[in-house]
Amino acid sequence: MLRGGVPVDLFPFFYTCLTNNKNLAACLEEAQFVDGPALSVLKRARDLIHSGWELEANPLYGNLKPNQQPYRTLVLKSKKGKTGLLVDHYSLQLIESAIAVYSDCKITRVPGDMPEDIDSDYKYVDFTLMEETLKNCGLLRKSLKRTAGR
Amino acid sequence: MTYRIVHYINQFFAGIGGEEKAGVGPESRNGALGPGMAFKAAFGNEAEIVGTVICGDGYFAENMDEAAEKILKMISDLKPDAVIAGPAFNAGRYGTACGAVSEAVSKKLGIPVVTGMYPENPGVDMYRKGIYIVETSDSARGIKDAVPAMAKLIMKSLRGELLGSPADEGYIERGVRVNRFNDRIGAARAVDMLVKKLKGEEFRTEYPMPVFDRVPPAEPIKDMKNAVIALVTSGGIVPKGNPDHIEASSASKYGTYSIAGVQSADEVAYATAHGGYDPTYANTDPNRVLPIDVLREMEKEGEFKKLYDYFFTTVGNGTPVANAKKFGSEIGARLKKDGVDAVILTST
Amino acid sequence: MKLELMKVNVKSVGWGDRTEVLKDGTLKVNKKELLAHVTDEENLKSIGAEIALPGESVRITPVKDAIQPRYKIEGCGQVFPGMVSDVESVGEGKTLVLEGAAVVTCGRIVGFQEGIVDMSGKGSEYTPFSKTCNVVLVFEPQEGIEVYAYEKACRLAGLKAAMYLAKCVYESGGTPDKTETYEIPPFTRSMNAFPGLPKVAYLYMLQTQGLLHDTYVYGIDAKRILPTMIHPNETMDGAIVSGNCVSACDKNSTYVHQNNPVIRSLYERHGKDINFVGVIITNENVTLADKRRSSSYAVKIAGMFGVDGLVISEEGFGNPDADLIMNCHKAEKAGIKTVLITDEFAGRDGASQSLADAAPEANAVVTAGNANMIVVLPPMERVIGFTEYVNVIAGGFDGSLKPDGSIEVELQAITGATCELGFNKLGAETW
Repeated sequence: MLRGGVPVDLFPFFYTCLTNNKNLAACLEEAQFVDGPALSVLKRARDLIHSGWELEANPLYGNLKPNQQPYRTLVLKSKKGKTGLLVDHYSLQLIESAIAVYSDCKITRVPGDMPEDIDSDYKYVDFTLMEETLKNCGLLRKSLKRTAGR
Repeated sequence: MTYRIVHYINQFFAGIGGEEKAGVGPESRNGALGPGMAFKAAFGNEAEIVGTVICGDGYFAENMDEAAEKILKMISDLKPDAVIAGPAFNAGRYGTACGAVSEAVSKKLGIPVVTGMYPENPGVDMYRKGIYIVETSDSARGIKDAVPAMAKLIMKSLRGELLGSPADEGYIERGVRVNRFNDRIGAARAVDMLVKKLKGEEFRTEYPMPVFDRVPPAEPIKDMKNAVIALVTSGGIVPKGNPDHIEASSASKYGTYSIAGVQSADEVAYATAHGGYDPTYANTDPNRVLPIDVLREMEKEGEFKKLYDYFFTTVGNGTPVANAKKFGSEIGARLKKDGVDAVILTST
Repeated sequence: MKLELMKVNVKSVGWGDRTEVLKDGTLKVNKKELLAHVTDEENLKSIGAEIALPGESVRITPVKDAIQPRYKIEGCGQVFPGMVSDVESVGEGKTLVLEGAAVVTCGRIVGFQEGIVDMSGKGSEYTPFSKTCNVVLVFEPQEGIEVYAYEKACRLAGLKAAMYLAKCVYESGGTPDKTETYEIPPFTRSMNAFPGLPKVAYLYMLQTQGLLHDTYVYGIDAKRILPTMIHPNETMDGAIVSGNCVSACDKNSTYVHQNNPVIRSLYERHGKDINFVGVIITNENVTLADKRRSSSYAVKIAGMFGVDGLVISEEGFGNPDADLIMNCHKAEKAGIKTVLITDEFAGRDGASQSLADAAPEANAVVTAGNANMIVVLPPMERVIGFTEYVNVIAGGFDGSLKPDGSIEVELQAITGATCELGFNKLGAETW
């Protein structure tokens, strides 16, 4: 508690992770697993944003496009003790943009529609892109490993 | 070989009549009619108008899917190599019909089709991506320019020639991005653009940003129990008979109707004028689009203080953006003046 | 700081007993020596070397990176500092360049690893590396090594090879055909030079999202930096190196970092209609807080420079678009005029929205083209690398690889096709 200032809580946010990536979910303390394509994860995040949650990271991370990458992992945060009435406009704008990009895409990849080897590669890259964020939010329990020589 | 062309026009250009005849259904005639004669002259020996398909603008607006199907059949029965529609200039319902017919021909018959409209015609925004719309003036006086432009474009398509840029060919920008090689690298173009921008000189961006008309949302209601709520709809619910003749598409006006003492938008007193959706469910129970019944219940239970005595309605089908903005501003001003706190806006 | 690039023109490449450039412009390479130099038994099971020349019926895939052979012959430090050389600051003195040559690295890091370079045919029109004489290194990973370690090994091997080639040419007495001089003096002089000319800086956005999406500055992962100043000459000595392979079309290879066209173009106009005062590098991290921090910080540095205008280039699509627009918005708000360079993902029909973000202030944009455009690449007689993953190639799709060897693929899969540094002549219009 700072004297004469605003009380600073060391951990002011709750974090949650939405993902359709089984391998990533297994590395987290807890995750909301969404069984479906990337678009489902984005839509679930939109619901949370309307309930007051905010995006911690950009939903369009990674340079693989919707027709290439079946996995999406979103981290959202919510202020402790605050019930969401006010929607974070920037989060809403970002998630709607992301949904538009995914909806516009004619070919969509679904988890498991590729041979296991390649599918695991996608899961792995999804993990590596979100690893830093997950670690900083205290959600990461263990790391995901993958060998190149196969 | 002489190409076979079918021409689509509305009841006015076919000489059947004006607004009073807008309800006539689709019909097919042999040869050219009305502006078709001007096209005949433009085509010379290369192509002939073998038939003209006509439909009333009102009929089309109120029965879009069914009319389009009928018209498509009439067109294909004439076995054309290509189709021309309109030109519709700035007539909203005519433009919507020409756009819809052209798109159907392109998708289902797979033959070249060209139409013509004034850029502000609502049909442009709705159909520009899928078809070629030649740019015309805003009234029929521009026919002498529209016809040769449309004729030239359809002949090019028939001959299998690749179409160039909108500026070259005279069609309205379709909004599709096409890759082209420049004579200089991107970085040089960028520095050049910056120098111009810094000097205050004119420059042209290579990618015009999409315009998002963002309206900041108002704060949520804190004291709902004392709030006055109003109903506004673009779903086209009107008193039965549509006394103010709000159009089934490209509405040029909105209606203001009293619901003082009205407990429900029942099917005896209300109906929909909207031509853009199947009206069956809305007409059976207009509360589905204009929920007066539910709001009255909530008003009785004290959930909010009062349901405003009037509702505002228009048809949100091919509405020109400018009109929508105008209606919104006027309705908003009136609601504010009368102390309304919040609006339930229903659309379809 | 003054740097002279001593350019030796390379017109062809061939294997030989000694690594040197002959009078006719042929770069001869001692294959055994080259491979011994880059060998890395711990991480790489095998390294193959092949040659691909412009006009040949050759396809290289999957391409990881392209690097221009350079070697510092005078001045502090050595090329690719912090990577294969000491961390000392570079950008001054004299650097030998093998102009017209490139080292291209090729290897399967992950199954969808992509990047196609065709040396002839339709595909060659879109990649800068169909015009360079390429020494291609093909890697295979050692059994059981981590993907991270393999990526790093490939990256370092390519840089080593590039430096080795230029060093040998220098040591064999190779003489430059052309010398280019680049100089911007210290601020006390540069800020007051050319009064009346607007001050312009370059905001250089670097891809920094994670594995296969990273960039290194003096060997440091740019994800971890705060935006900072860098002298444009430092980029010419390989201070910025690519760890980015996805997606092929708009990933900035080390080659384009070394030959940054924005820096070249700004130097060209320097003293004529602008005063090119410097370069600011910034990142494209995934977390929103990082984006806000970096964009505010970068624009603040631009403000400290007192610039009138900023050229901003980005790398990637989606997430980076948010950074691009944020940088543009904050700069314009601070009274700095901006021009942006980006590429587009407008869908195969060109009808989708090209960028994931937008702002009315972004009224001056140069486009490197729509990366979703489909091209059909004719079959090539020789393939260097691996083709079994072409169907999975970013931009490719099922049925991409035809039985006759031709490939129907989006521009996205062609290395460097829509480079957002404005390296190519490709652009797009609205029709």
